[in-house]
Amino acid sequence: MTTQAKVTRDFRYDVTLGRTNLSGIGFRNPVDLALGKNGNIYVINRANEAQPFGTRISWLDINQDFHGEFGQRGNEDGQFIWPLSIAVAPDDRVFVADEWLSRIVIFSQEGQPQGTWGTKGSSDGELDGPSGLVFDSKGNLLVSDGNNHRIQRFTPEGVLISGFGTFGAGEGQLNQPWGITVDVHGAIFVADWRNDRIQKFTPEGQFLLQIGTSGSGEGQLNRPTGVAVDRDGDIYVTDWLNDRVQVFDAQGNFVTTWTGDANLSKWAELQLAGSPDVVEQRDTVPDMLEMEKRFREPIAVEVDEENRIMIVDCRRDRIQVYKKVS
Amino acid sequence: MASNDIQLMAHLMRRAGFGAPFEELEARAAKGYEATVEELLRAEEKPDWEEDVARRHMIGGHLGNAMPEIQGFWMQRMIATTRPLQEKMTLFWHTILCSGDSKLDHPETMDTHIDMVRENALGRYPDLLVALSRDPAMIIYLDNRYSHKDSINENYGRELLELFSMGVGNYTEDDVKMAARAFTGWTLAPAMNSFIPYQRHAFKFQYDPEDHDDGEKVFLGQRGRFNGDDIINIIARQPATARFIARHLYDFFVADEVQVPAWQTTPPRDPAAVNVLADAYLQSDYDIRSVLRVLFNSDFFKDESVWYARVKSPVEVVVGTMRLVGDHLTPAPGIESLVGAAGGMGQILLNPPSVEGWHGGKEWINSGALVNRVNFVANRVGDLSLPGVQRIVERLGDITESISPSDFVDGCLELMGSIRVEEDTRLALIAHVERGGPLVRDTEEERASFARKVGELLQLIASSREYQFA
Repeated sequence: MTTQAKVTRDFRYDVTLGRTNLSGIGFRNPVDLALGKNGNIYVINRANEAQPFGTRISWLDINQDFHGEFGQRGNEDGQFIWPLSIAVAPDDRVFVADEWLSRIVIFSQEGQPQGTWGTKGSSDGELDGPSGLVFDSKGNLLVSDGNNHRIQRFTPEGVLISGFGTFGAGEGQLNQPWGITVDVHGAIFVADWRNDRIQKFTPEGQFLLQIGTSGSGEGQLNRPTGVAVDRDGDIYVTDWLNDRVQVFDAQGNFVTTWTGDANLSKWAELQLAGSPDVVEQRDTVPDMLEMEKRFREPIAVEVDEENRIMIVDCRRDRIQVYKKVS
Repeated sequence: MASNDIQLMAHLMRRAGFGAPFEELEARAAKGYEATVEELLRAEEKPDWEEDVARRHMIGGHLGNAMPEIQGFWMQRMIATTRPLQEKMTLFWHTILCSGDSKLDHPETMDTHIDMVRENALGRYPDLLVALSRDPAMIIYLDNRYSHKDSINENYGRELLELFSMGVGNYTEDDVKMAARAFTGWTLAPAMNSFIPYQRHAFKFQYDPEDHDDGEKVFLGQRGRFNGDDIINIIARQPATARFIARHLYDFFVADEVQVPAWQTTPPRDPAAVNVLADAYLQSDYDIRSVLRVLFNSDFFKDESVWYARVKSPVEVVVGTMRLVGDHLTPAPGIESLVGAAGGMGQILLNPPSVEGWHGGKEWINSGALVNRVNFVANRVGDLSLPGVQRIVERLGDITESISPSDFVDGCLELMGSIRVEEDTRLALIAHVERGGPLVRDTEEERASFARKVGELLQLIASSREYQFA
């Protein structure tokens, strides 16, 4: 492992999922993942404009069984232009935030289009660049409304329930928020992206705590994108432009940093098995395996019920999985 | 009609930047010409564009894994830049100190190359050349990684002298060999150059002392155990280098010259101007910023005889038009189509046709490229939904209660960037407007018709020689 824990925790690197691919088995510029029932994992592939067929949702599981892909680039039903966040509803439907069209696109568990909602704007209930999604314990959808610098709560049908946050750098204020999550008590955690901090709010949106300042030192953040909280209250943050993940305890104290421990995924091994020239080239690079471990712009994080921490390693087209053993 | 100050400012901004909307020209003219030149030159004192925001929305664009990603990211940066001269100089050096992805096949390395160029674009030329010589893109593009002390590859040594500093006729074949020997050992650390399974890894410069020829060399009449740094220091102070860089700067910023291969036999268009710039180079410790200060403040640059004396490169057409119409000032889908548009006009960003770069000037223009250039601009300036076009319509509508066809034409020319067209062209534009009937805007319908007429006229101006020239 390349990590040092300061507070007593036992984390282990577990496995890497994914590989580079524009379609089928593999990812291309993955930006978020969501965990569904029965071990389903949904991954957004942002891809790029010149390769629009790469923009899609991959559906797999922790064993790297590939179940398919759905969604495509466009502005029709079941389509998106700039998908950025994904969440699974209690009824198993899959919700995707499209930050360009400023709308939410809904799919069935198997990827059938189920409609869209959302209107671009800054009035209550409108969206501008939605960048984070999470369902609360009541089954309502919290949306990180990036360019409006606020959080809004909707019913799954898109009816506004409440909202909080204004633009700024003070306590409770936000500057282009991105990732969002809730803990087991319903507290809301927001990656306050351009303020280089994580903020914790009550379920009603009252400020509770902020974690991190700008920088690259221990406990500092450089444009944090994703946040997840495990059942013990430990907080995981993708420290995007520092190319690392940082872990904090429930009070916001620094616990540890991960810079990446990836090895070859099952899918990667399959890919290399058909590419002996690449295998040969890898052998010529002295520190290949060490370089290959590292995160490059980790962008989103989720924790599953087995305390596996899944980190979307965006620029390496993979997911690195750690496990909290104790 | 625009004041002379604004027209001169328009000339400056077409050359030192990518053009500017009329409101910016007004503000800069009020600030003053020399003050504006200083502001452009001191690029690093201006807040940079919001790169983090661009990276947020253009996922994977910065140091990307695919060429369209990094081409789009640079195109976006040029459109959004708050430091137009720095970006223009980056483009300038890209056309001279060429490397390209057709040979590299490594987008991230192309991107780090451009970042290196940008960082050094306005600094001392020898510093740029040293950085270039250590730049992985260049080491790949001109094969220096295959140059060994017991088997030199002359490619980089040759192009350093021929294309990057002195020009043909100012050095010998022995000098080429000596330069190549001095750069042996300037190579790359091994890196993974396959996109499977997890994307490529960046190349890094590595100096290999075991593979460096440390022997004595005679280079441009000087003797010593030169390494690459020494070679560059010798090159940088040569009068031939001063004249070569001066002529390139004249060609890019003042008026189109003949193509570089003809420089050996064809004197500069304005030898005195080139001498002034060459002297500035030598007297300023080879500082490019100082040379540009002399250039932009010189009479030969301000002289109206050199206005519209350069054919805009395709990238200048695309970036300048987008800045004018106010589109893509922030990241949005479609940026890669703008890269493609410039490619369709003959300039594929980050992929020059050869180490000689692009042949500019009138060679940018052929029937296909001209149609593409005119159509591209016409489609944008005729789009009344774009904020820059709307501003032109609104501003024109504010000029006076009733507007004559000649005022209408002059207003459009002014608001499109203070363009001065030939009188014949102006009269033809006026005749077109007259054929369109009265320019009234009392009713909603008339105002819509007025806006359409503005769009039509802007499209006609886009096809003028003057818009296609800088």
